[in-house]
Amino acid sequence: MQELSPIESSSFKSLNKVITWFITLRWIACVGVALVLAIAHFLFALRLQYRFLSITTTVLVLLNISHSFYFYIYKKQYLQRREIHQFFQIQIIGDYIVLILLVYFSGFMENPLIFFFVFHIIITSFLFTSRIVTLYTTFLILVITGISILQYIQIVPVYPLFTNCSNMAGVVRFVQTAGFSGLLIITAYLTTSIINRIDARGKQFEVELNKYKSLDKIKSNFILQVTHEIRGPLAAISGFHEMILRGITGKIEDHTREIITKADRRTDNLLIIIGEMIDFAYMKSSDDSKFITKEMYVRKIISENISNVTTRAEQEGVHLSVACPRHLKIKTNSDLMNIILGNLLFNAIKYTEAGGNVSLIASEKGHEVHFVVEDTGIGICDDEIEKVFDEFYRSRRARVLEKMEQVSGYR
Amino acid sequence: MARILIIDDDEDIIETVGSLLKFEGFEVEFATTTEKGLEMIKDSIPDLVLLDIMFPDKKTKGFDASSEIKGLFSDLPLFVFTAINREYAFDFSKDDIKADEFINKPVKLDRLVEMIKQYI
Repeated sequence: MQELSPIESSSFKSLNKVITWFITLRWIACVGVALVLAIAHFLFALRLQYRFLSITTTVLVLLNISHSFYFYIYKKQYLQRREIHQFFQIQIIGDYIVLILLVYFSGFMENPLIFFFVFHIIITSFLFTSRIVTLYTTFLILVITGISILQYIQIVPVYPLFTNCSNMAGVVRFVQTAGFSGLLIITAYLTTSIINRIDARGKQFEVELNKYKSLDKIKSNFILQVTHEIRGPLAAISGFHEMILRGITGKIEDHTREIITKADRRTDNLLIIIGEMIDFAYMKSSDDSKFITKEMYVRKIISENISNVTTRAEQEGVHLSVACPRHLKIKTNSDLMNIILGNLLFNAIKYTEAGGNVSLIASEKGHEVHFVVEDTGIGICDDEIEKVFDEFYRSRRARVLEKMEQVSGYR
Repeated sequence: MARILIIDDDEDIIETVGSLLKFEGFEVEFATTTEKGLEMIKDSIPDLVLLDIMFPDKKTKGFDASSEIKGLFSDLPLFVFTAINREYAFDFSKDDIKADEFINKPVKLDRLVEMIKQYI
């Protein structure tokens, strides 16, 4: 989105949080204005335009109710990029108009509330580009100068904050208006400059990041190539084992059969690890754009994965069960889903003893589909749970089990 | 006796898979290049083709050959057979591959025979 500030457009998701913050802040402002009016009326007995001020405050409340309804109920706290931009514009324009009216009906340049415009300019600078900030600042200066001149030449009425200083001298009015306009210009200039500098740093960081990503991709392509070169010969070795075990090469002794079976199992384990490395390298070396997503039935994804691991589960004597609502759908990339579910199921089976259970349960939670793979296997220690998503991490229990398998030749 | 053609540049794979299939009673022929394999198919159509993907001269040569074979003999059962265990590693989706099955090397003989019998 061109009109949004480059910094904020890079953190698009956080903008939805900023909207929540805006709406909350506006409620605080509504309460604040109502309290100030009550104090001014009952405590200081100031003669203000309470009717106009109350109407303006009510307009602010109504505006915020409509903003809240649109954001929380109609859009369920999530706006698209273009909608965010438009929603910010509407909110900021509404806030500017309400603040102008509040200030105008309560002393205008006498009212310290006028400095809240500085705060508004800063927020505008953070959200929009320099061009839009300049536009808003110019608009504000023109409105404030215009009102000041019209009040001076008595075309529009003056609503003083304190009745004894209602007639401001022309020079004082000029100095105040000019001073305040200057303050707005400096605020706009400084904040947009700071934002632009941060943005330049961000871009520099992005260049560095891309350089790093490209190196990472080279590394991953290298792993892909190397693992393929290893997998080919291992496939041949596995074939030779099978030839020997089936007696194609001649009759074999029981002890030789036992040794070849062990060698074959170890080869199979190595092939699995290499398969995982190929998946990992592929995901690392691919552009996100290549992962096209489409809507599909969760049941279909699950049944594909279950059929891939059924033989292994049968070999290990592990009971597999699945639960998934019939009409549950998900928008996803099937290749990636197959890798994830395949790995989770395969690992669950691998680390569950014969007679144990592995279950895959899919369910709908709000806008998400939750997949739960549960097993009655060796489990993961509490202190290791946060590490399970680290690259190539293997839990202590899994390492111990693998060691035992190496000693016994099991699996 | 069903005749199977193996097209693979790895002679050890030809030897192991070929011997195992012969052991199961199939007649096995082989070619170490896709050009030679295609020539053999044109001379005498086998009952099934096992085709490797990665060849020394081109990473995805098997895919090109599978399109060519299926273009000429659409009814001929063709299994692509590769050491890379995911077809997506070649930037292909399963729908793009002109093959009846996609098999990862190594495959256990029982599984391979079971799959072959579905087509022959």
